[in-house]
Formats: sequence, C-alpha cells, structure tokens
Amino acid sequence: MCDAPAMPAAAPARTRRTLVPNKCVKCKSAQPRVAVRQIRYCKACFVQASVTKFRTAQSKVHRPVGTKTMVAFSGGAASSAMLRLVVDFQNAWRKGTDAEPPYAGLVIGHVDESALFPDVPEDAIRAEAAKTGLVCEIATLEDAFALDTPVLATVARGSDTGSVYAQLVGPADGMSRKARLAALFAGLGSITDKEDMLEIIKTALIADMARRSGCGAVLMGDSATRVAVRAMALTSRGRGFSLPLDVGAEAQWFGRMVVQRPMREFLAKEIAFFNRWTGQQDATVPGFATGLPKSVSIGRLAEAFIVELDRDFASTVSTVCRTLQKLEPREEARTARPCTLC
Amino acid sequence: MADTGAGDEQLKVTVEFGGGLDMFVKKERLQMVDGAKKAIVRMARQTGGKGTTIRRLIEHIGEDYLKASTDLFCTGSTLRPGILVIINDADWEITDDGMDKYDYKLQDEDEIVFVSTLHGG
Repeated sequence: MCDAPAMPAAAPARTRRTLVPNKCVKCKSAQPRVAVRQIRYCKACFVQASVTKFRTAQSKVHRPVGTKTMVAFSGGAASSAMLRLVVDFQNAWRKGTDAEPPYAGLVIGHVDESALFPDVPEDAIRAEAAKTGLVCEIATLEDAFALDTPVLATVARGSDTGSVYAQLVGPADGMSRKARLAALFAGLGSITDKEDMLEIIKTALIADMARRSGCGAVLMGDSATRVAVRAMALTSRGRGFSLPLDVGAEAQWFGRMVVQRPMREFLAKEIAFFNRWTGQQDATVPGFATGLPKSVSIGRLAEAFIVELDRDFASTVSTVCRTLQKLEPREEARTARPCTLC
Repeated sequence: MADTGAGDEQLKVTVEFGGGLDMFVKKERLQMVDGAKKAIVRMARQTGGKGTTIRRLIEHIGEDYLKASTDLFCTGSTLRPGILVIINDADWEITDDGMDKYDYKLQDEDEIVFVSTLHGG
C-alpha cells in the first residue's frame, strides 16, 4: 500500500484570521471605526472591502457579451452607493489593457417621483446623476400613461381592479396625466395598495427605459436590509410564490431582460457608512408611509419587524437573505408572473 | 466671559440628523454649521454625579428638539432601531469590551450624527 504519491495534497488547514485586539481586522494597525456583522474595520479598510466585495460579486455575474446595463437610480442611499460603485468599477477596468470592460455600456434610469412627492430634491438627484457623465434616462410617474405598451399590471389586492385598470390604460378624457395619476392614487384605499401601485409603475417605467435604450440588464439598488423587508412584506401579502423573482439576486424579467440586485450584499448600515466616508451625496426619497406609525402599511410593519429583530439578533437580515438565495422559482411562477410589458 | 462660565458647567456637542431625520427636528433648533444643518446641544456636564451619557442626550433630544411624535426617533432613551449613531466619525457600536453603547460619556465638542437607514435606497 503506497499512500504517499497517490494521495492528493491535503488542503492547507484554514487558519483563523489573527486578530489584534481593538484594531482593524484587516490592517491590524488602525483604530476600528465601524463594526459590521461583528467585524471591526478602520475607515480605509472598510471602504476598500466594500469596493472589493462589489467588484467580486459583479465579476461573477454572467452578462451576455455586449449587453448594455441600466443602473436604476432613485437618488436614495443604496442606489447612490450602487451608482458610485458601478462607475468606479467601470473606470478602474479601463486602465487595464487586455480584458473586456465590466459593462459594455452604462445608462442611468431614474424615475422622477415629484408628481406624488413634491418634497423629493429632484434637482439634486439629477445633478448627482449628471456628475457621472453617463447618459441618464428620466421618466416621470405620469409617463406611465404614455407607455407604448400600457401597464398591464396586477393591482393590489382589495382594490377595485377594473376601475384602476381602466384609469391606467383608458383614454385620457381631457385630464392631464398628472391629474390622472393623482386620481389613480386617491382611488386606492390603503397605503399598502398605494405602495404596491407605485412599485408597479416604477418597475414598468424602468423596464420601458431599459428597453428603449437597448439595455439587456438592469441593476436595482435593493440593500440586504431592504431585500429582507420586502421578502417579509411580500410573504405577508401572499406573494411568496414569486419571491425569488421579486427579491432574488438575479432574475429574468419579461423573458429577455436580466435584473440583478448587487446591493443585496450590503446592509443598510454599510451603505450609510460607505456614502459618508466616500463623500457620496444621497437624497431622502419619501414614501407614502414616511413619518407615519409602523402600523400604516404592511411594508412599513415588515420594516419595523426586521429592524427591531435585527437589533436583538444581529444576523437577522443576513439569515433572511441567505435563506432567500436558496429559493428557486417554479416554472409556473416564471410564466404566471404578471408581466408589465407584454 | 459669561460664556466661559457656562462652559464650565455645560458641555457642548454638535448633533447632525441624517437620512431624513431632520424632518422631525424643530426648525429653530437647526443651524448651518460647516455646510450642513446641525443642532448645537448644551447639556449639564454631570447627571446625578456622573458624566452625562449619550443615553441622556437621546432623552434630551426627544424632550426638547423634536416636533411631535418622538417615537420615530426614540422611545424614552432607547433609539428607534434602524437609526445609526456615529460619534466623532466612528460607529457607536464599537465600545470597550462589555460597555453598553448607551453609556458612552459625552465629551466637549463631540460630533454626534444620527442617521436613519429606514425607507431609503
């Protein structure tokens, strides 16, 4: 019995990362400034680790060669961080000589929500998008009435499907689009329904912009915290069936378009620190439940549930996200999903 | 000179409200400091014979600085989950071993930032 030559070399034993007490886990010399998932980083190492994490995740993603990518940008913290990371990745790659750039082309897609929320700092958001030098497609919410293919969307449960549908796709009757939008939302009873409708319209507008500008992939800025909250809210509303499509790391929309959520690697806390330490400006984009108690909508309640649980059990968000990753959509869910385009 | 006298008993900290929290703060309490809206908070240096903690600062803000419903910021001295605290550019969760983050003793000229991570992104 000869064992030595035939045996594959044993994998080197994983050594535990040496820790220097009260120092950054990476450089082991600087004072830590932030603790994420019980790991302490100094400022420089934290920013570097975030950039590396994003790039590693993005390089593993398969995108068909030559596919342009749309970065969905609301102006909020997560999508601002995502835009910065994407642009930074693209610029860093250009310096290399032999490889393809990470993105064949980049377009920003922004939905102007000022028709519903006049407080949105729209000028600042557009200025932030313009800083990148990329082409920025902008749609307003009221453009939903002017889409080439009307928004054939499911409407939230409990609402009068027929009348909402009629308002969305019916003739204008001399009403301005803004007035129709206001009437549409005024007709929805609960804040949950309003949030749902807003989400549907925004998704349709982003998809439409992506299609018109020839993008085959869309990057959405849902953070890990947001993904966990949405998963909880959608499950509560009986939408568990399509969960992998709604919050998965990568999903196919409308047959051809790929939707990715690269920011789901980041907790809301990491995004806040990243933006602060890189000087990235972000805007506060209000929603229907902003400033209201947690019982006003299912989404708001799910948010309170997740963040309150996360306070006592620090890995709640990561656990929910990891579990979600294991979900595979069934074929029926893929095909039965109401399509907002076709 | 009156200022110096007051300074001996009171400590001064600068508080910034980010991520939309400034909406809940009374307008007159905010002023432009270094290009950002901040509140200058003066508090007693000692509370009950001990150094004033961030717990007391949160209570104080809840009592005096907020417009109406304070539970969107804090309940008593407990901060609403989802709000981050940055003390002098460092996460407040980094504390000496075993110390409660709420027991951080405020120092003169501390810069405290409260950032809401909710309904963002």
